[in-house]
Amino acid sequence: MSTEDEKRGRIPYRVSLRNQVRVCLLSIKYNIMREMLNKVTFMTNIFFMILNNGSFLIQWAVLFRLKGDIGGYTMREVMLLWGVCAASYGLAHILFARVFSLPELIINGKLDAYLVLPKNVLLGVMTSSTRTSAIGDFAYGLILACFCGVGVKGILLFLLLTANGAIIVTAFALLAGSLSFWFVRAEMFSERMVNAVVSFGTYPDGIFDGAAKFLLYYIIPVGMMVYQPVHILAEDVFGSLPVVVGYGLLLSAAAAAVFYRGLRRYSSGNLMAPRV
Amino acid sequence: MITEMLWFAAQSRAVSEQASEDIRGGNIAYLMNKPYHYALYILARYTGEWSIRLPVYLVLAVMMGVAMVGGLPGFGLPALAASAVSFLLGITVNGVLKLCISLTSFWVEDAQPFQWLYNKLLLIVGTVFPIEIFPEATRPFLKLTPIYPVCYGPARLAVDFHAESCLEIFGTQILYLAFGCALLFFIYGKGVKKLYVNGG
Repeated sequence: MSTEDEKRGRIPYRVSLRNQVRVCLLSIKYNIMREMLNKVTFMTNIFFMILNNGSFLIQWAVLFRLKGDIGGYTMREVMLLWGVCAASYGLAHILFARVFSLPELIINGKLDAYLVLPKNVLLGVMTSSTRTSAIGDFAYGLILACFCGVGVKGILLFLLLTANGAIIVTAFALLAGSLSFWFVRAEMFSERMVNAVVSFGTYPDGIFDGAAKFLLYYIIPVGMMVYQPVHILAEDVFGSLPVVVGYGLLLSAAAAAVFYRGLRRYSSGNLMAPRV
Repeated sequence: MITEMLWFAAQSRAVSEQASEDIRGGNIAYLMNKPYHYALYILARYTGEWSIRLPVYLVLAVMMGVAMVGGLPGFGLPALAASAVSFLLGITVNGVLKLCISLTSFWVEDAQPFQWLYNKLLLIVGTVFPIEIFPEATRPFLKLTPIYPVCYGPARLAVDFHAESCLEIFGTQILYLAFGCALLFFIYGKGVKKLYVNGG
């Protein structure tokens, strides 16, 4: 710390950022530890979520028995599609589950508890809860990637694309959820949009064309979250990797900007409720 | 894909989540003292939910079906009446079975994983694909599962109406309803005796 900063009682930006990241990681760790209190429920949730996701492979196995390829995809590409989608969705819900219920926090005035904490509001909200079943989603995605025989390099690339996909879906949920600062019924819209990402992300992009494809690549970010990563993994083509990563960073910046803009309009709900 | 989207949008909260949350959160302690049976109360809420959603999704499903496949040959007034009764019985059987799964929260705390499996079984095997697509050896077994009275049977009745199949489907649904209700009251009775409420 510089003498000038000491005099003014300021913490240097580098130390402040490091502290914020440390607090976020601790929050995530304690969220998962809290879920593990009941070990039977914890393991059951994970195992059954893997089974739940695996049941869709029956559907695709039957479809591929009737037709050789669907939208230019074979069974391997469909497994990669499900792997990337499930792992990205799962990772987002493990780390940032609260973002997906942000409209409820805003409408019911529950953001107050985060505003008074000595940590970044957005990071505090994002890392305040986790979902156990999302661990099953992430594990399922990883299992599928291993089954597809992508190799060690492919698994590392898969993890990078999964992290990017998690950032994209989280940013999209944050952007849609932040509309609740302006519109009360944005809660329903936000929920439907996030569900649309998952619904469309589990079908080959080859079955869409024209306006639908434009919508899925640039408006609902399924293309950058799932389809492009699948093409990168399946075809070993890395040209679009910087575009995919750049899209994730841009969308995150835009979502954070919208959140803070909306936070200026937020007013307390004066709700008295215990936080347990 | 559209079938799946309609399926997920039409899910009811009362039987799948409400009962589990009441048991997990302790709210059941207040509700079981009321002068009505808790399980029948949840089923009444479920009936209220689907009564509103059914007309909307029925219109959507009919529009989608007519647009993609066209009209159903031989679908007349007898088929319409039989299908309507069969759909209502199927909806009720589904509600009773889902509530039975939710009431296992008395023992396992979180019954959601079992709900997921049940829903996927109905969606993949009963709704997206007809039973005829699966190997012949598995068909008698699939007809014994809830798939037949809840979704495949009523759909088959609407598409291909025969008096014999009508009697078979109604009989299966009534048997499943009787068995489901007996199981429901049994699980509830056992669960309430096991209930340990923490004061406060």
